[in-house]
Amino acid sequence: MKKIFLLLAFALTASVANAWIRVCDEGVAILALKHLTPAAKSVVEQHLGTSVKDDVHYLYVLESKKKSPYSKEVHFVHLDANLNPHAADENDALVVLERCVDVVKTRDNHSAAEVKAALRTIINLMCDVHNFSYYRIEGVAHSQQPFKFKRTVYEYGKTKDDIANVKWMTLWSSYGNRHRGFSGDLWAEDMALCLGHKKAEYSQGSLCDWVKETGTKSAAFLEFINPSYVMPVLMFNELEDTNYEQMVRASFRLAALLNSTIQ
Amino acid sequence: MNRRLLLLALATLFVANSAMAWGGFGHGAIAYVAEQHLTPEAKEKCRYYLKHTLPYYASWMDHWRGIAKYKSVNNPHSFKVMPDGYNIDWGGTPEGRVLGHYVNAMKELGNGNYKNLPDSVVRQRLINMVHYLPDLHCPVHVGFPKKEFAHYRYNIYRKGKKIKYHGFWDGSPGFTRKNWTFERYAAEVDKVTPKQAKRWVKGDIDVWGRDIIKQAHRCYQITPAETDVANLTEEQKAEVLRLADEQALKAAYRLAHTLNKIFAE
Repeated sequence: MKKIFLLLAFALTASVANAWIRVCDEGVAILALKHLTPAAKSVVEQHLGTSVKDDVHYLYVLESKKKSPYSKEVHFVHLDANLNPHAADENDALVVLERCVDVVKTRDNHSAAEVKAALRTIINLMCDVHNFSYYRIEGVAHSQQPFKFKRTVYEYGKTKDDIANVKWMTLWSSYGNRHRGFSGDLWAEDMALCLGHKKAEYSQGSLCDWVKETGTKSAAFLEFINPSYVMPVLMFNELEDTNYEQMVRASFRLAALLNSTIQ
Repeated sequence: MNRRLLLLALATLFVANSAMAWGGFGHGAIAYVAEQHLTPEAKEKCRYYLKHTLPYYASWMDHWRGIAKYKSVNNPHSFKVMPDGYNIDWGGTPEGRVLGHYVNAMKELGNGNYKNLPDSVVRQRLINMVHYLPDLHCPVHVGFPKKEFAHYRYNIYRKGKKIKYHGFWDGSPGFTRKNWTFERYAAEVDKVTPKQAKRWVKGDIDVWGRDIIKQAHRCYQITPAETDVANLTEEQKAEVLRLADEQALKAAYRLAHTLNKIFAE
């Protein structure tokens, strides 16, 4: 019975490709767009239209068609041992985000196609940099590649010995999978309802501040979440709220970034 | 042996995705439809206490059922039927079964009593209600007694491989509806007339329970023993959806009715 459960759990987690499932990323983008200034909204709509549903996984689509100018490492932020961003090359989420912000800021000097690509990349990567799984931290060996750990399923009863496998990369998307049927619009509505009052707080700071904040939290998780860890089911459940907050942070910060970039 | 287990795991992926009553999609769709039929007061109150939309908490009890703190409310999410096959067996309630949760919640929250409770208690009772009232309506959450209904215990299949009868019907609102959103479910499935809605919410939990039992018998006629669900005809698929949707919509309208009643000014 335990083997069957393990295999079932593995199959469930293995079915997700991205850190947050697509519809959660859509919700992040949809909520962000509701908080754009008129100037930012005008520029975004001019280049992307009124729907961002195809933009949230822009880079993933390019990768699937082998047309991305970057390696898959572009989704990750690379931090040094002091948790400071240290990447210099283009295969780093923060480096690429900063370059794309520059393109949008100086959009009059760029083609429409370049500005469009930059905006789509910003929307995609702002989700990624708020996901704890997307951090490579110097000195933390298990942050350099995908790894699995375990979690308990029940706290009591005869099934309390059941253990499920969890992938670090899909831990955070597993919460989105609990809400199949949610549309991006419904996610946006729910996030606004729950944490709309945190907009000002979450929007403070710069892109670098946000990355360092998320990276610090990721490092804190990775101190105890490693391939030999067994996560209690209570913690697994409680982390859903933590993940949800990250989605809302990503959303309000995406809006703040676009608003400050497009003036 | 490992390969057989792997194949079994993969073959039951559909079932595993709906391993809880109604499955995540069914529960969420019911809660979404219910929310569309709340009075403005009830909707505002629900959102005040829950801090989320109703669908967000639709499956919460299934995910937290393994936590010791919630053991007292994690009794089977089903109810028992008398040997006659038509009446509720109240002997197993109120604490032990899902009907009891409904009855207790109404006592605690109804008649304005919710105003005297801490927000956290109201919130938890609402989370329970949003999940358990729909659970009641799932045909395979009606517990027919083993002795008198031994003929209701049989195998069904998918492409020749045995699957769980319970799991198939749990996932029935999403059957053939890949990638549906709740909005789409509400738009395409919720065609209930006001007259029908009024009829459905009439009575009390006892009346609803007997209606649920009556409908539950149908699932054993729609998918009898040895059915291979991969070979269902279009008419049979439509029958599955007809029963699933009827029960899901009844759950939604009764949930809305209950919440409207609790929060009526």
